[in-house]
Amino acid sequence: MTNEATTYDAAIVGAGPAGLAAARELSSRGARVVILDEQARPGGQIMRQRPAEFAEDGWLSGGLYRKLKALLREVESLRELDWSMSTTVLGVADADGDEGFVLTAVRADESLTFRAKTVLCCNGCYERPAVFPGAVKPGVMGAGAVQTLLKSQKIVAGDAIFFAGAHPFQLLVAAQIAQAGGRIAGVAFAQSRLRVLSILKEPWLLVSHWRVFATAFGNLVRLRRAGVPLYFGYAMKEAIGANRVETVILQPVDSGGRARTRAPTKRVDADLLAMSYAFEASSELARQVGAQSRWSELSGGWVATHSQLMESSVPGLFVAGEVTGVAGADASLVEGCLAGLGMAVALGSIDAEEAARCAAPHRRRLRNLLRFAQYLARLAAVPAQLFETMAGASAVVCRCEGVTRADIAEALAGNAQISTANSLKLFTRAGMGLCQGRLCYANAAAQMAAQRGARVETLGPFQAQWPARPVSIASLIAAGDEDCVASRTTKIRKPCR
Amino acid sequence: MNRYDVLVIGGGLIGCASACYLARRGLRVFLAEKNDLNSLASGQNAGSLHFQLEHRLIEHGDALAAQFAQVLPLNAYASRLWAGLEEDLGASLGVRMDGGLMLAATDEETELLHKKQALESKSGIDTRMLKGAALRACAPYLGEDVRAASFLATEGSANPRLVTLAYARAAAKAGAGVYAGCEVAALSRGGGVWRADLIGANAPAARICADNVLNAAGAFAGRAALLAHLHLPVMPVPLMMCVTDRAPPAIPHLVQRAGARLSMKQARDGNIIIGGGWPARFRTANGTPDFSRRPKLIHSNVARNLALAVQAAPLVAQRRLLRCWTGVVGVTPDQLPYLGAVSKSSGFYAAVGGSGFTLGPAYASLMAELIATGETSLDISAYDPARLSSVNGFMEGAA
Repeated sequence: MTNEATTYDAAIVGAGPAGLAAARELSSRGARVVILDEQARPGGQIMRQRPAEFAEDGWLSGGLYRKLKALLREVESLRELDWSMSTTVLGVADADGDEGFVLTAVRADESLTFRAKTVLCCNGCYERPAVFPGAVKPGVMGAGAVQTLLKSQKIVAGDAIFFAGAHPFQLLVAAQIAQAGGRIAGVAFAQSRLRVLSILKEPWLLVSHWRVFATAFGNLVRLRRAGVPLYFGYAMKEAIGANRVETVILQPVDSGGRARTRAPTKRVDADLLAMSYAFEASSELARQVGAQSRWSELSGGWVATHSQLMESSVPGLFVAGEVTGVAGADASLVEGCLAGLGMAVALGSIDAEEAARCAAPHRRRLRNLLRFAQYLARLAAVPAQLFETMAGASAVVCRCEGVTRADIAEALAGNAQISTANSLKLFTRAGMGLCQGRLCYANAAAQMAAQRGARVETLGPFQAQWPARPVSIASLIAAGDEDCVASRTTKIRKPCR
Repeated sequence: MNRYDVLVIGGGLIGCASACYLARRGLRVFLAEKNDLNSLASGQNAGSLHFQLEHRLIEHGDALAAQFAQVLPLNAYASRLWAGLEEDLGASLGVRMDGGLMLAATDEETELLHKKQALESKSGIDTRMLKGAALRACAPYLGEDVRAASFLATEGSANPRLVTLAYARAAAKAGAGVYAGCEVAALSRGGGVWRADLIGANAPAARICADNVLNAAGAFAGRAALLAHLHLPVMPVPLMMCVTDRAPPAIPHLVQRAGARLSMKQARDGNIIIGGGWPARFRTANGTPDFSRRPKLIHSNVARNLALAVQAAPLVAQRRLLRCWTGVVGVTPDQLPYLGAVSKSSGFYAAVGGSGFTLGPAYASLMAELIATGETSLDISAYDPARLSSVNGFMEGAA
C-alpha cells in the first residue's frame, strides 16, 4: 500500500468559465490546483472544444466568446496546474479527521481519489426536459445537446430540426445550426411575440448589454433570412412518428401557459425536435457534502447558497457559476474570480482585507450581470401553467424508470402522507434510475406541488447520493483491492492541444 | 374528544403495521410520526426476508448462537404473515419468497452452517444443505469460491419502499388516525391516562389522551421512552446499502454469507441490492454524533461489500453501481427485540430492535394482540422488556 497521494490546495470540479477563472486566481497566488472535468478538453459547455486533431481557425467566432476564449488560452498555458480531464467526479466528502476533502472520481473505468484542502464545485447546469406525449421518442433532444454535437464534432443532429421552448438560448443554437448548413424547420416560443419583444422596453439593458442583444438580433435576422418560420404562443402538444419523431404538433397557449382550445393546433414535419424550456443548477455534488441550497424558481431550482466570496455553508467548500443560480457564462467567470479569492483566504495565502479589496470590482460587475440575468430569467420564465398544459395525464416523467404522470398522481392520491419529494421518489421510483433524478426532479416536484397545493420549496430536493454517476463495480473493487481507495496516487495529464 | 386507546409513536413499518392491526381489532389508534412515514430504516433497509439465523447471530460462538435461536419461532410466525400479506393489504409489496441461500466459502463457514442447521431444525425451520452439483443446479450464478450453502425455501425479499405505506393505508381504512409531520413533544400521566403534547405542521391537536402508548420509534426508541421517564437502551447504528443498475433476471434468491457481511437480492425491476451490515459513519456536531443528518458513506466499505457480492455472484462485476445510501438501525444490547410492556402498570409498550423489517409485521401483530387482549398466541417472554427492570424499577412511576 502506498500513500503518496498529493493533497492539493484546491480541487476544481468543472473546467468552464468559473473553474478556469478560479484556477487562474489561485495559480497566480502559488496554490497547488487540480482541475477535473468530464470533457476531454477544458472550456465547459460554453467553450466546448473539438478534439485537438480537428482544431479550426474560426472556432466560436463572435464578440460574446472573445473574453472567455482569452481566459481559456491563458489557463491552458499555465504550467503549474494539474488537469484530470475525461474524469467524472462521483462524490465530494469531507475528509474524516483530516482537514479538507476527498473527491472520488472515475476516468476510463479507473477509480481515482483526490485529496484537497479546498474544493470548488462549478459543475454547471443541465437542461430541464419537458414532459409531453412523445417526448421520449428518438429524435427528441435538448437544444443544448444539439449544440454539443455541433460544437464538439461538427455534427448537425437532424435533417429538419424544430426548436420548441421558452428560452432565448434556442435562437442561438438555431442560428448556429443554420450557419453550419443545417435546415431549421421552425422555432416555437411559448411566450407571445409581444413578451419576447418587451425587452425593448428596458433601454438601459440595451445599452449595458448591447453585445448580447446584437447577437440575439443577428440570430433572428439570420433565421428570418433563411426563411425559418417563427411561432409565438405555441407549446409542444405531441411528437408523433412511427419509430422516431416525424411530425411535431403545436398547441396554442395563452400568456399563462393554458391551452387555447379554440385556436387550431399546428403540425410541422421535422425529424429532430430540440427543446429549450429551462435549465437546472447541477448542485447535487455540493449538496452531497451537505452544502445548503435554496429554491429558485427562475434560476435553476435548488441552487447552492454561499458567502460573498462564494463559500458554501460547508467551510472550505466553494461554489460558483450556474450551481449558484443559472446566470450565464459572464457571471460564472466573475463568480470564479471571487471563489478563487475566497479559497486563497481559506488557504491563508491572502488576508480577508486584501481579498475584499480585490473582490470589489468583481462584485460590482457581478451585481450588474446578475441584474441582467434576472431580467432575462423573468423574460424566459416558463408561463405558470405551461408544463402542466404540455404534460397531459399520462406522459413519462421519469424516463429512467418509466414512471408516468398517472403513476405519480395515483401515488399522491392514494398516500396522503407522502409530503416530500424524497418520499415520492421512494414510493414511485421516479428519480431512482441512471440519471439520479436530475432529469425528472423538476417535473415530478412541480406535479406534486400542483396536486398537493404546496410550494416546491416545501417539498425539498431529492437526496443527493453517491455516486453522482453510475460507476463500474469492477473498477471500484480493483481500486479497493489495493486497499488504498482513499490514498491512491493519481496520474495527471496536461491537456492535449 | 381526542381520547384514544393507543398512541403509537413512530411511522415506520412497525408503527404503521401496529396501527393497522390495533385498529382492525376495534381500538382507537393515534399514530404520530415526526418526519414522513417510512423515511428512516423502514424505507432504507435491504428488504430481506431472512428466516435462517443471520451471520451476526452465529458468529460469536455456540452459546450465544443458542441464545439467538430463541428468535426462530418468531421467524416462523413472520414467514407465515409475509406469505399472505399482499392479499391481506390488497397491495403489491414486491414480496418474493423463492428461497434463500446462506453461502459458505471456507471450511469454517461450512461447519458454521451445519451447526446452524442443527439449531434451526430444533425449531422446525427446514433448512437444507446444498453442495456440488445440487448447489450449482439450484443457483448457477454462484461463483466458484462457494463451497456449500444452506437453503431455506421460504426466504426471499419484499420492497421496503412499499410495505409501510400499504400498512398506513390499511390502518387509515380501519379507522386509525395516522399523522406524519406530528411529533410527540411530551408525555405525562395522570388519572390513569397518558397525555401527549403534539407539535409539528400536521399535528391535528395540541394534546391528545391515550390509555396506552406503543413505542415503535426504531433507532430512536430510547429517546421516545425517556418521554415516559423510562429507559430503553437502543443503540443507533449507521449502515450502508448499494444498488446496481438493472440486470437481466439471474438471482431469484436472497443470498447471504455465513462468515461475512453480505446480503444480496435482485429486485423485480432487475436492480441488484447489496448490503449485509457494513457500517457508515455518523456525522458529528460539536464532537458528538448528529443523528439528524444522514450518516456518511465509507468508501472502503463499499469496495469490500461489492467484492463479497462479486465473489458470491461474479455477474455483479459486470454491473454498474447506481447508488449507495446510508441509514440508521436500532440495535439492542443483546440483539433481541423488545416486545411487550416496558411498564405494565402504566401501559407503556415497546416493539423495537432485532430484524425490524423481516419481523416487523410479526411484532405488530403480536403487540396488537397483547394490547387488545392482554396475552399473545406466541410465547414472546424471551423478548420481554422486563429484562430491563433492573433499571426501570427505579424509573417507574416517575412519569
